[in-house]
Amino acid sequence: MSERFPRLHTLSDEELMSRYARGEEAAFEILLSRYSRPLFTFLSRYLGRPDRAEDVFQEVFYEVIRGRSGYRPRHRFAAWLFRIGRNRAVDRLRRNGVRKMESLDHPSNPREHEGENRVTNVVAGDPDPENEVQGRELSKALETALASLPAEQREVFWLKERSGLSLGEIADITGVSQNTAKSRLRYALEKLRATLVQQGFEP
Amino acid sequence: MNCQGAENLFIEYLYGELEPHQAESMRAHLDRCGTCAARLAELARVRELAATAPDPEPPRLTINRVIARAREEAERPRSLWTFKWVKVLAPVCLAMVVGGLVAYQLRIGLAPKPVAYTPAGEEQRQSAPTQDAEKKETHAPAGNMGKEALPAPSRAAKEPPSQREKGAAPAPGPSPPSPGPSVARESAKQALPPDAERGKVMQAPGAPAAESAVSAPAALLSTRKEVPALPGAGVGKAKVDAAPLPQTVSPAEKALTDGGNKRDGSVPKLLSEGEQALEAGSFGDAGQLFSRALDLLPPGHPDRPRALFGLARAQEGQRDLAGALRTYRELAKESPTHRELAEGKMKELSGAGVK
Repeated sequence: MSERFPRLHTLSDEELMSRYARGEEAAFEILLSRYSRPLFTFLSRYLGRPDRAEDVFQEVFYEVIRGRSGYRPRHRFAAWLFRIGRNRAVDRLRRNGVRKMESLDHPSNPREHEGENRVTNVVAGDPDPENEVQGRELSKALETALASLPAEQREVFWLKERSGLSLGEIADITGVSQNTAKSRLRYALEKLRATLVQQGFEP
Repeated sequence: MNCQGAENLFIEYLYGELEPHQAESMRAHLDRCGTCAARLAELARVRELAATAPDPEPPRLTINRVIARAREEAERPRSLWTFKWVKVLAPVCLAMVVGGLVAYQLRIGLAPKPVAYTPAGEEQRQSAPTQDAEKKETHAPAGNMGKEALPAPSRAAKEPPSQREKGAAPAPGPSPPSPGPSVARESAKQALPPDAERGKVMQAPGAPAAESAVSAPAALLSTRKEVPALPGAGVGKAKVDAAPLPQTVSPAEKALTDGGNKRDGSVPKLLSEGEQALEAGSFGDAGQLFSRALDLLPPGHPDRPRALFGLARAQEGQRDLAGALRTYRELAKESPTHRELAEGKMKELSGAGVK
């Protein structure tokens, strides 16, 4: 994407969105390339199922497209995008009557979801067979640990890890105080570590 | 920085959200505190591991759909509404259009409706010829007096061109006679049915616009009729000079005027017709019209001075000089703006022996 639009690639998210609002479609493609993966990761982890994440991902970007003329560059694009994403994901969970977030890490039927295999394959991409086995085990332990996170901690954890937003912005998006968001993040890290230790991995 | 302070800032430090001076303090503390350094290293390691968790990619088909939608929307002509200046100007234009329409409607609603005007003098002449004869003997030609009474621009504005050419007389033939001081009012009373006494004499049959306007003033009309005239009270001929009608209206008064007009749209008509009657020398009619207007105008209404002035002039024309003096006195009391004018007239009348 950056090769196709070298000039646009250097622009900030906000400038790109403003340009798209003025009809420059290429600017939108740059934004999509920057945020498709982080947003999809967050949605997948939040909703617990990639198929739901696909629908919501599409809805979120459609909303960005529709709302382009109302976008104000003084607001960070990432915060706007993830706010829409989080809200649409919450809507989807409510619509489906899901009280607790399901986990990508603990799918009800593993064969339904390819994510877990991909996770294992990526982590197990080491050419050394011994390392590959160890990596696969660690990956599995990590997914278990991630799945064990309470919903509120998982939400803040993945927003912080993938969106690049500040604690203040995350607090704003999730509707809690900054201290609460910070505490949730700290507990999430502590819990992940404890679960990994339980499985024999000492981080 | 102590251990507790460092612990409180671990998250900000891990995610690079500390201010430079705080980060420097943290590094200094970690250099000398192995416990805190070890705790922080554990958390950092968890982050590193979490970073190895794969990021699932959205399907290419989904990405293509989004790009197609974005392209489609970008190619669509921009709605006018997306321009800032349209968002600013549109409400302003809308407000102007609505305001214009409202103003236009109000103007139409407040404009005096054309009502056939039947000079009461004619009816009086038809019904009381003997009294007319009496009036002829006692009065100077009324046309001159009427012309003097109104300033030229006002007359020009109120009269149709044909009437201006003809002079002040509204009816063909000889100038309509003016009633005597009390005879005119009495003759009008006798010539008309009871309703007419309350003012219906001035409107053509079936003219509903004026009907509501004339339902109230009977009481005041009757009180004015009780004003005793001073026969032969020193002023042989009713002198009505060319002093302009009091029409000084302040913005506040204008608001009041509008309010008054909303309450009763016939007041301007009564005043206008009263002035026409003055011009025509029909002082009895003029007196009735101004009296009715006064009945409709609440105290403090900016049209009251005009009505009072008209009534006073009509009374002068009818030789009711004592009544005129009282009306001028009322005018001086009610309107500071016209006090000087009224006092001048009062002085003039008093000088002629009127009390």
